[in-house]
Amino acid sequence: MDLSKDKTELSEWAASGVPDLLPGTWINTNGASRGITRVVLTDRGGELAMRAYGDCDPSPCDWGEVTACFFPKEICFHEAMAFTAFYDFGFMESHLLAHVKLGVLVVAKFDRFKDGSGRSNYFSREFFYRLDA
Amino acid sequence: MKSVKHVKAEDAVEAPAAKSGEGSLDLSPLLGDWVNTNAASQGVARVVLTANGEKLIVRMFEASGSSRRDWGSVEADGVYAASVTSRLASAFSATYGLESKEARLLVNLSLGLLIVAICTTAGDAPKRPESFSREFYRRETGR
Repeated sequence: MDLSKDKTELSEWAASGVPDLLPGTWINTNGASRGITRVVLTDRGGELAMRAYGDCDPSPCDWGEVTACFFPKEICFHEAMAFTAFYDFGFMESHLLAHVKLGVLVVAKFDRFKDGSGRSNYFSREFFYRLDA
Repeated sequence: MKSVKHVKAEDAVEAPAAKSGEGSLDLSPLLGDWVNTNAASQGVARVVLTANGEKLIVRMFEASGSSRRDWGSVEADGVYAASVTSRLASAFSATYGLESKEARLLVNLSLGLLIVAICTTAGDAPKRPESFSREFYRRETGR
């Protein structure tokens, strides 16, 4: 990894924008998931926006839309692309790390509780397929 | 019993059960010397994880020709179990300040490997991406 890379990468990033394969609705491959059931990715003028939905009863919890930090292929080592997103719900924060591999969106969740409930902070990973692919 | 706040069902552990697990996580699954599975990697060659009391200390060594550049030690800012009720650490996050950049580490165990993702952004603009890498590490000595 060459941490000296800088402005050249940024201009490449600006030129490449959000690749076509990302925007759309992504559905959890595990229909019984109790975590994130659906992810909607949107190209907002060259920025990647993410909206996640958690499994809740009686209807999914809408986590709202956040701007992701997108890493295009030009600045990725060993990956075609990746992005991170961060949610702060007050009682819990969730740092998401995602990449696409073989048409599957892989989302790693780093969940941290801030409410003193005694629940363990925990890591989990879920897989999504694109609905309109 | 009243359920705790949640935004996904997997976190809806009943509060009394959750309370019984209060305390720090067992760091032992993470501790040790981890070596890049790709000996030709130009990224981080070695990760050393130690405990200082209940804190996880991270030290990274970058491959740099025949030598290794020491990134120094930082304390993990988050340690994560494998589930909401588990007490065994299986992931962590940490941040390095490197010159004008910030390297955010998101690291997890999987199938005996330590998977290290490094998201580097501009130090003065956290959402301006600089580089991303994800590499795999094995324990230097078998467990």
